[in-house]
Amino acid sequence: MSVLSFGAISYNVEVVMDVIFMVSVARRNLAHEKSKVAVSIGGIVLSVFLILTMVGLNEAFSTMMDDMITGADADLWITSEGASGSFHSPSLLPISIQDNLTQIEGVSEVSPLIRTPLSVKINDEKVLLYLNGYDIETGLGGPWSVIEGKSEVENGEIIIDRTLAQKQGLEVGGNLTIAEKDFRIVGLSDRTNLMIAYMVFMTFDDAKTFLLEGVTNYFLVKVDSGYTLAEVINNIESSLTDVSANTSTDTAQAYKDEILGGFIPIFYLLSTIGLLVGIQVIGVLLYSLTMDKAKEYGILKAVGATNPQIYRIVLEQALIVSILGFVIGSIVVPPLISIMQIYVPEFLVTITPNMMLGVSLLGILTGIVASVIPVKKIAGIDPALVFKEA
Amino acid sequence: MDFEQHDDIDRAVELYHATKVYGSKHTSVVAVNDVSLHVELGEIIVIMGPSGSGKTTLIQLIGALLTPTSGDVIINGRNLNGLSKKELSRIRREEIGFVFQSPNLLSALTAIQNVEVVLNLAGVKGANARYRAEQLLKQMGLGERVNHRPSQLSGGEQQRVAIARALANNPQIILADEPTANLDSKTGHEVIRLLRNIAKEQGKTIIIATHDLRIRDLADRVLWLEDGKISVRWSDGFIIDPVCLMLVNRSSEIVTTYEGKTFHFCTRKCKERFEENPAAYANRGFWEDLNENMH
Ligand SMILES: Nc1ncnc2c1ncn2[C@@H]1O[C@H](COP(=O)(O)OP(=O)(O)OP(=O)(O)O)[C@@H](O)[C@H]1O
Ligand SMILES: [Mg+2]
Repeated sequence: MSVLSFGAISYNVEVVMDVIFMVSVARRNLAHEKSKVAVSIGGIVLSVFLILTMVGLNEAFSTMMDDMITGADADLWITSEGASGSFHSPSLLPISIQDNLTQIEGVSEVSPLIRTPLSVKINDEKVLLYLNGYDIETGLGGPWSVIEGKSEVENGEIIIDRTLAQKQGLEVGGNLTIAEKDFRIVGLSDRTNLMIAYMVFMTFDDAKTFLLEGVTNYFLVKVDSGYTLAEVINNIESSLTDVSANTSTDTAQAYKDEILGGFIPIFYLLSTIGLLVGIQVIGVLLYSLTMDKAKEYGILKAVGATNPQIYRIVLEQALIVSILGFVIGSIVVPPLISIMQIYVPEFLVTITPNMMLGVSLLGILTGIVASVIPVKKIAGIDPALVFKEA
Repeated sequence: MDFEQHDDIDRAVELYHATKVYGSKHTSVVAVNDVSLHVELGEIIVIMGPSGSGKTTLIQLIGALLTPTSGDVIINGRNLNGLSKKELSRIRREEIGFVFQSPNLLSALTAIQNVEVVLNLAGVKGANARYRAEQLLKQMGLGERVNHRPSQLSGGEQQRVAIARALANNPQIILADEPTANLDSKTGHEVIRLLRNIAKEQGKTIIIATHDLRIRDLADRVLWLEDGKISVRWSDGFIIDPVCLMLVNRSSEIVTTYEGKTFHFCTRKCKERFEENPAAYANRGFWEDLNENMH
């Protein structure tokens, strides 16, 4: 729908509304300046795009981080003491403590899990993998969102991130060589692209060949019913030294803090810039609309309009443009993002209803903020101006 | 003239020693100087005077758009001194209709909407406002033009829309500042006739500030303003510029003689134009007539 035809429709709706209610000077003024309004709405749509993309990226990544931990289906994550387990502070534990863990009161099941970055060459290109080696007996730590092929691996098999497959032309049934070891690709996993690394899943036994002898990164623990998580954490930490036990939720949070922590300020900054661009666009439009019609506001004042009555006109103009911009933006931007994702698979953005609600509220807020300066200008218009010849 | 201050509901406008000084100290200009004046209900007053004599300022004082530096302005029995901005707006909205030199319509609105807007401001809404606006425009002979934008109307038509707008809230007082200045003489006459009919049919009080001597015919009373003061009589010091018909000071140096008569001009430009074709201007019948009448 073009903005111009929208203008025509709104004009006709206008005429009907005037008969029932009041003549809206605001809407008339906007209908009179269609191209200016259209350009402004375009600017707001871009600002909505920027905001939704940033917030959506943040959302997508934090959901992914959550899934990376909670998808492992463990009650507790055991790490070496003080290590959160992320890229930056890897956890290393001796395999030998698995027996000790199993004997602790309240522990029902223990599985080792390897998660480690590994730089490999695929098609002569350097690629960073995030290796995930899980215990196929318990299945804990295995892939949580396979979109193609098997969702479990056996020795010699691998499930890889779908965007890695897409980028490198890999397919289910094909082969992937990692450090001279051949793996058969048996499945593709979604939402496991960490931007800096692609997740791949293999058996614990295969994965441990890439790590030091006798070492794992984590143990995943299932807790017996009848015990609280806190009780079992306490039991573990008091019977084993140099070990931390945390709930899945806490581990996920630590993970997100560490990996996304550095990005979140950037997300917020860019979203804020998006918002400011929106306010600026509406502000400039309103300013120019107001100044173009400064004399007309003077006329209204002279014939007895009160300042609040005139402010309402400016505010109405601001709200119409901003809400229209944000509504059109919210309609247009999500499909636009979907289309872009076809071409740029790494472009991981999740848009939620809450975000849409937030964007609408921002629209209203933007309109109010953007009308402040024009309203101040109008307050200063002298109605006596009307008596001077143009 | 002696003015006693007392409540009199038959008076639409009363001024008591109203003075307006613009600026301060060494830059100050006394635009209206100690003017006292009564205008009765239904009276048509024309205020004349040379440029800069304070006509517009006086209109603005009466129109609640300026506060007098000293003195009182009373509209329909209410002293404007000390009224809140909101109350002054209400008086402008409901008790006074304004007609300006240029029509001053809102460009994005059609003729009818321009009239509706001021009705809306006063709380008359929807179909009621629309009906009243349409009736007024019909009275102004604009029944076929209601949905035209100002840019689609002639100057005279625009000015008639402005008059309809001034009448919309049925104010007792109409204030007009040079309402014909932008119109050719024929259209100017039409607008004047319209104002006169309204005044007489609807009993409105009309105050018109103008240079245009032809408007004199419409007045019940002509006031002569000079240096911000009202003189009862036409000042002997003034004469009419035969080209632009403005009043000029007799002591003006820009003069020429033609067929034994001395003519005075407001500017060299008028003088030059006169000299190009003196016969066309010197024999303007109404000029002679007016100059004599005024004396
Ligand atoms: N806003 C203002 N600030 C300062 N001086 C002003 C202002 N408005 C008018 N004046 C001065 O006040 C005097 C009266 O001006 P005013 O506009 O009332 O005259 P006028 O009779 O309407 O003139 P004209 O016939 O040219 O319209 C003039 O000397 C003018 O320069
Ligand atoms: Mg004037």
